[in-house]
Amino acid sequence: MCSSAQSRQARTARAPTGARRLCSAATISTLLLLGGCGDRAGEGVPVSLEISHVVGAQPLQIEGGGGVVASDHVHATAGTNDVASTQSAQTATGRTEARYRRADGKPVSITRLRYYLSNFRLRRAEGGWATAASDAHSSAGYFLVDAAQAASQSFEFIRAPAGAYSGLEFLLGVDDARNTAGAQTGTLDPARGMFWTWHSGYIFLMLEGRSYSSEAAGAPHESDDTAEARNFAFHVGGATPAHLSRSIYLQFGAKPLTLRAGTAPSIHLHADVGALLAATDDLRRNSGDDESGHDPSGDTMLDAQQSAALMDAAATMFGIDHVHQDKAAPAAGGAS
Amino acid sequence: MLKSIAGAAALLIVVGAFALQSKAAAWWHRAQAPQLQQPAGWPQPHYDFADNPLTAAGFELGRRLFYDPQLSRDGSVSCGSCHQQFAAFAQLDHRVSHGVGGAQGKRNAPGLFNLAWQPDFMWDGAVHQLELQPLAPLQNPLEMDEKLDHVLGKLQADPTYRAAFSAAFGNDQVDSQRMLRALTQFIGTMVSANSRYDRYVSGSEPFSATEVQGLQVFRAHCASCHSEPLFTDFSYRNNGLDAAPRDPGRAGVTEAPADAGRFRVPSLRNVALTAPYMHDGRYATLDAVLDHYIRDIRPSATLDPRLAGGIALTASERSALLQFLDTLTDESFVHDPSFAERHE
Repeated sequence: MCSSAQSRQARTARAPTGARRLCSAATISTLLLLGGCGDRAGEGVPVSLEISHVVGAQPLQIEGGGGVVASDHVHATAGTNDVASTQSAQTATGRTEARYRRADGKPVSITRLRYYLSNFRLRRAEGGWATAASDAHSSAGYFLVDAAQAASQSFEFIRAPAGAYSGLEFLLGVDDARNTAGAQTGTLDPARGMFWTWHSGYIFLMLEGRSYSSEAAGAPHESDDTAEARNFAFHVGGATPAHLSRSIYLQFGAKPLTLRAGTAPSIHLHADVGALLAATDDLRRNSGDDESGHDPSGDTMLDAQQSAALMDAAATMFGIDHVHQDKAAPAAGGAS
Repeated sequence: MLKSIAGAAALLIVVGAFALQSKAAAWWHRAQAPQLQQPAGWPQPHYDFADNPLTAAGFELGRRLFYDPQLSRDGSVSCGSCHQQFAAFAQLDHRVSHGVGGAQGKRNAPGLFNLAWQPDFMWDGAVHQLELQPLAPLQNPLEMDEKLDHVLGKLQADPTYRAAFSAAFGNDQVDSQRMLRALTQFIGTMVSANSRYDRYVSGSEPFSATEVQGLQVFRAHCASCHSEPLFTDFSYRNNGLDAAPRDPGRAGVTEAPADAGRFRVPSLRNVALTAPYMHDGRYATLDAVLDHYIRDIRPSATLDPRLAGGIALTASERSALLQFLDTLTDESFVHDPSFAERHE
């Protein structure tokens, strides 16, 4: 459960000397560092999130080979969006070519999908919230999910008191306070490439890929720079002008989540990227990009309205697939 | 015999201590933590050093980074290349900044001083926090054209930098936050508050009659935007440079049509040293700037209403104003060795 990437984050996240001393004394596990080295470090039932990226009913495939997410328990229902999964093919180089079909029938592939999740809290069945600990001096509580990095899709997001919970809330993006704060560390380190330097603010969501002018969906192309393949990049976020983070609330439904001491429950989300692809289709149509033959490319800055439309679509990606309620807490590792 | 040797040794130590005293005092001064002082009558600084405690080693690291061309892609350009101390950290005679490989930037490099009081940065206010400001030129393809992780790799590979990070932050971990905070300790403590104007206001130095007249003209016609004591109100305004601005300015950040052609009101401290003027460096002299305000204001939908029709000045008012602007030069700031490049 404690992946190597997360351990790295925990080590590079620096707390002020006093707080760090407190941490190392109080905890052994890096998971606890991630969960927030604050007053409540080590207290409560650790709850983890696992995110499976899908398009419709199929696991999302990231072109370039890095991100084929094998998952044996995704039961996502087919989306109502008009982006249908087509097929994947193996190129001569052995690289996976994942292609999806846009509403206009043209194939696209996704080369990168990254986004921030933060401000997690659980809704108590009897009312009120259990809020994830955060720490002004580290990036604890801010998670950078990369669809090509399995380790980034699974993390402990809260330690909450035992009891019944009816829903989960989080922010897609980074809150205003952190978005306008000074130099950050860990997942919020500007060196992670999710920060605009010439217009300060975090990139909340980054979707990049290739679109193909050919209607022959699924035909593997020869190389990255064939004339028919065109790169696109949608980067959404920033501090001004609009507040583009999106708060997402997911209900556990008929069966509330019950946290019991000694367990380490895991909530499995599916994130259906089809909705996001469909939204990019709308953007292309509305901006006439397809007619002019230009996809947005490079370090694209969308206008406020386009950005809002993409974030609205992205906010609909997430759904609770299932919950591992009584997963036993790891025996070793310092969970108290 | 033994006793006399011991006595001589003791004497030598005492004499040596006296001989070293002046040097020791200088060393002690250098080792003292720099401070951000709030000049009398100034508001509270906007940047809070509480989260980035000032230390002599942090400041020194910041100075080294500021003058280090390794921060650019090809090692040709440092922050100090376009921010020269003798020009109050603007760039003399350059309309726009010149980056790596002969690239030309889009806007004029502004002077650097009193940054701790500035709420946001760049001509359009696109950067909200002083610590993050250095990232903009660092990664701009027309300026230093580097990548943050590359720079960190170069610093990490240099044992003298690791030692400097260790001295500044307790261990030799090199990361972006430490790099940016060290730079902030350097640029954030650049305070310019010792011009002849300041000494006149504090009563320690007189003004000539013409300078007094110039101050009156300034207060009547300029101070509503270039407000004392920082000589800017930190607002964004269209000062009538173009009827149809080529550079959207503030509107590029806010996307608000009302912000088209608006730019940050710059401080006029050290203004005699920071030529050329305006966001695009179009005016080479203060004379040309005054010509603009007197007779070249271009009307547009977003023109600042106070500038409509231009500022009416008599010839005597104009020359008094120019003399007054000279009193804003802070010689002690532009000659302060603590902000100078160190060649060791």
